[in-house]
Amino acid sequence: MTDPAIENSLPLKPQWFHILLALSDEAQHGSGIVRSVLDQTDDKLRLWPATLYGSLEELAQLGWIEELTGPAERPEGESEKKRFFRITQAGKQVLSAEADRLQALAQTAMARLGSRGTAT
Amino acid sequence: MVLGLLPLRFRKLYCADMEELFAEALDVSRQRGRLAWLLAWIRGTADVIALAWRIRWGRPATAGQRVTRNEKGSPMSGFIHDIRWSARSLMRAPLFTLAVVATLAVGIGATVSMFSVLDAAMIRALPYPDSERLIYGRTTFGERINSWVSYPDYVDYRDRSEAFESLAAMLGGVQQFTITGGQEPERVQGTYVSVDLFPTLGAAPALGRNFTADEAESGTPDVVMLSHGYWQRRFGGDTEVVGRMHTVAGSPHTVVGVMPAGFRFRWDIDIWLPIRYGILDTRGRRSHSWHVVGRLRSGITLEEAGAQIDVISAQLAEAYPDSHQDKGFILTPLDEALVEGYRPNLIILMAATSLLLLIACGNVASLMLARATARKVEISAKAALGASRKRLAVQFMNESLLLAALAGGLGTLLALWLQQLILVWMPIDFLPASDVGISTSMLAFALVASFGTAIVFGTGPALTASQTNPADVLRGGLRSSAHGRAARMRSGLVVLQVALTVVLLTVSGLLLQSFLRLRAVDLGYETENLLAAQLEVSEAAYADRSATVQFYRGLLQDVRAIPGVLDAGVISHVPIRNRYSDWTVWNPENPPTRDSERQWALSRRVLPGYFGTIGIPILLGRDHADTDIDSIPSLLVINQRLADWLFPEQNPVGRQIALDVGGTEPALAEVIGVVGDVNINWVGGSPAPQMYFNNANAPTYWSRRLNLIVRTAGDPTALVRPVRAALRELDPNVPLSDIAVMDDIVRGALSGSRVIALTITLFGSVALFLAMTGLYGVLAYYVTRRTQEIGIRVAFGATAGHVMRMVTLRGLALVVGGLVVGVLGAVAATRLLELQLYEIGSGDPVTFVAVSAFLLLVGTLACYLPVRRALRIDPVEALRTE
Repeated sequence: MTDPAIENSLPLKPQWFHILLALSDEAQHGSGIVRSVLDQTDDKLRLWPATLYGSLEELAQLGWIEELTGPAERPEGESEKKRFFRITQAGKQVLSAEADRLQALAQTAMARLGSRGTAT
Repeated sequence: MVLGLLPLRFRKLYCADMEELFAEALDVSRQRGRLAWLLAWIRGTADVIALAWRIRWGRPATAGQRVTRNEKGSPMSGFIHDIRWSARSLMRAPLFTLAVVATLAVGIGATVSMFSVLDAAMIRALPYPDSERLIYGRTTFGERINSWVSYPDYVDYRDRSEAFESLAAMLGGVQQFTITGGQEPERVQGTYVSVDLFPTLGAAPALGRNFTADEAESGTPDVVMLSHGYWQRRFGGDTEVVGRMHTVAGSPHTVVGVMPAGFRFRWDIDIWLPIRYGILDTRGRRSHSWHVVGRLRSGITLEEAGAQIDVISAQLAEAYPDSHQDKGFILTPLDEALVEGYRPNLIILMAATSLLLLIACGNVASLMLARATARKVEISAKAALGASRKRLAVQFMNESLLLAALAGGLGTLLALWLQQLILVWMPIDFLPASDVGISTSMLAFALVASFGTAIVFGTGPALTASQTNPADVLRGGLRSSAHGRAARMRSGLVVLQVALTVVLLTVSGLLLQSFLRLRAVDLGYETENLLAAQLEVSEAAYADRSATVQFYRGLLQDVRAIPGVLDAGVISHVPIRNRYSDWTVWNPENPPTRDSERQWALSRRVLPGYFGTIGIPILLGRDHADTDIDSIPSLLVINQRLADWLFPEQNPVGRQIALDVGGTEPALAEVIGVVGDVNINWVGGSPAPQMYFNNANAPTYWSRRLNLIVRTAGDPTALVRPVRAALRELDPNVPLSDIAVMDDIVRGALSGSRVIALTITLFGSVALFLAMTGLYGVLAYYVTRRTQEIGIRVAFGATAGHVMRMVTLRGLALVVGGLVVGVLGAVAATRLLELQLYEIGSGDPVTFVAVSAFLLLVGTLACYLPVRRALRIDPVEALRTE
């Protein structure tokens, strides 16, 4: 069922995963993504500017995110100069594939730890 | 700023956003404190650098798909690409890279650190504004330069010349003035200055004002300027001191001002008094006792001023033929004049450092030559394949630049560290208080030195290499003429290095010997097991002389009773540590008619028993006695030298001498004894005339502050506690300070010589190491080149001894060559040093012979490895290889 091209992309680099996740709901711009990621990770992962934009560049080249171009697509009230990004269809697929992978992994782990009788 | 590292296209797109994000991140972390903020800043910057690195050199993003990179546009990337290539090429020859960088770094480090210290000491020595315009004027008699000028001459030069904004004068030498009134009488250092001295220098008082012009006229009230240190000491830093009366030499003077802290001109002065016409005996044109300092008018050069001065000198010679025979006036920049005393030492150090740098550069040059010739094949192949000469040159330039940059960076770090070392070692009394830091000129010098060397020696040979016919080179291999030329150059370099090393080692040997002799000088008294400490009793508790004398007598008794104490005494000045303090003396039956006949003698105050404690023999008469208290006239003990001068061929005991104690009438004192000559001012040199008064009956005043001298049976420091206890028993309010062991004091006085000797020795050792590695390199190369030849010889029956001789003789030939040149150089160098050497003639052959023998020995050792390699040559292999 899964696209082999997407399969080959897994596992995703952690910051890519978080960026895609941050963009999964709505288009955001740089600092918005950083804030979302902080929320997602309970303040544990702060994306620094170079890492962020480097990743955004890479993700854009891979076709998993794209930059908003027209003013009509921007959220209301935001200035023209801010650059907004949103996830693409391909990106969504990769994101959900990775989420599945992580879930499967987590289940395996829980099963194994449970059968051994965790410390009580 | 760091964003510049990222490729242009990337920057254009994201720069603004990145900065905004960065600022946000910093704000958030600032709330958590400054440290968090700093860490965040570092993190962010590192992040950018990492990204830039990744983009340029890292692997493309792994995502199963190839990501195209298309940012080759920027010129930066081309340059960086070259640097990367050079770096890799250097890393393929790690030994070479390490050797070059290390050698250059050491050379540069030493030079830069020495340079910055010297820069601070010599170039920035004058803390006055526009100090380049300050000059120092001195009298010349024909060829000879006399530091001092006569007052009437000074006035004439001042009034008749147009070259100076102002020309000021200061009395040569420090005078002693008695201060009375107030707490206790004190003898302070003072001098007379013209009212415009401070403005000439550009120094303004911290409190109050400068002297005014009319204060130079007689008849106006007496005024005095205080130094900061004296003001703190005597007036406790009272800001209301200006305008108060201060009794100097018996007459009241109004305090007009206080000079700023740290102000010092030539000597440590407590008070300055203005020169007043008529009052001060300024003597005639024959008496040269004044220092002259001036500030040139802006726009006038030293030469122009000098020309004017010469004209005036000629006028004076005509007007006063008696006193102006051959007399002239010479101007020198003040900063030069002030450091003249230290100059020799500093110059020695600078010369040694430069030699070291030269040797290091020599090694680097040699290494680079070797590398260039080794890569000849590569170069010629590239040239044959069409690489342009320019391209080749650029590539080699990059390598050299990279090496130079590394070496320069390392060298500067090393310099910082060395600087601290030097400042710890050097006698810093000639350095201004400000710390030495890295100056921009120093850094510039370092950069020039490192880049210069690397470029000259790196690219030069490479360029010439690319010039030769490629086919030739590819065929000829190691036997080609270019190789031979390189080998000859390297040999030449080694000879030079050995020569320079000889100079350094010889100089260091002589300096070491000189220092050792100085150390062994017999001061005239035994300095071992001698403890010194200062005490002062307060005026409140000890109001009069007899109370003070009682106290010290009691202390001496108690201290002498301590087990482990052989003897104890007190004196106003600890030998070597407290110097100077002299009065003019003469024989009243034969008073001097001219100033040049006046003798000065170091004056000290003691209590009975001092001479026995310190070990100065009493030659005639007797020591002071406790019964002499309050005796009139004052009694004194003089040393042999003073006795010989005042009363030649006569018995001085019972005779009277006259002393100039600053008042209108000289004081009279009676001689009761004569002691042997000892050195109490300096280590080395002949003992000065000395006189010892009894504190109980000294003329003019007596001291509450005296130094306790204790002769101990064993380690002096062990007796500090018992002495303190004895003192506390007697009077717990009297503090004991400045405790020192006499041996340490003497050692401290020699520290200057010791430091120079040790530093030069260190340099010599480094130079030796560098020269020897250079020698090894050349010999190893020689063996490699001669592999075939050696193989043939062995095949034809040459023994191991033959081979050894062949290589060793070659090596020793280089060493001997270097020795010859070096010895000549060393002789010249030591002749320059004669001033600094104590009792060592520059012709002392022992040192030269020792150094030569040492170098020959070390040179032989350096041949060892190449010889081994030569012996292991398998003749069959050798004949086969190229």
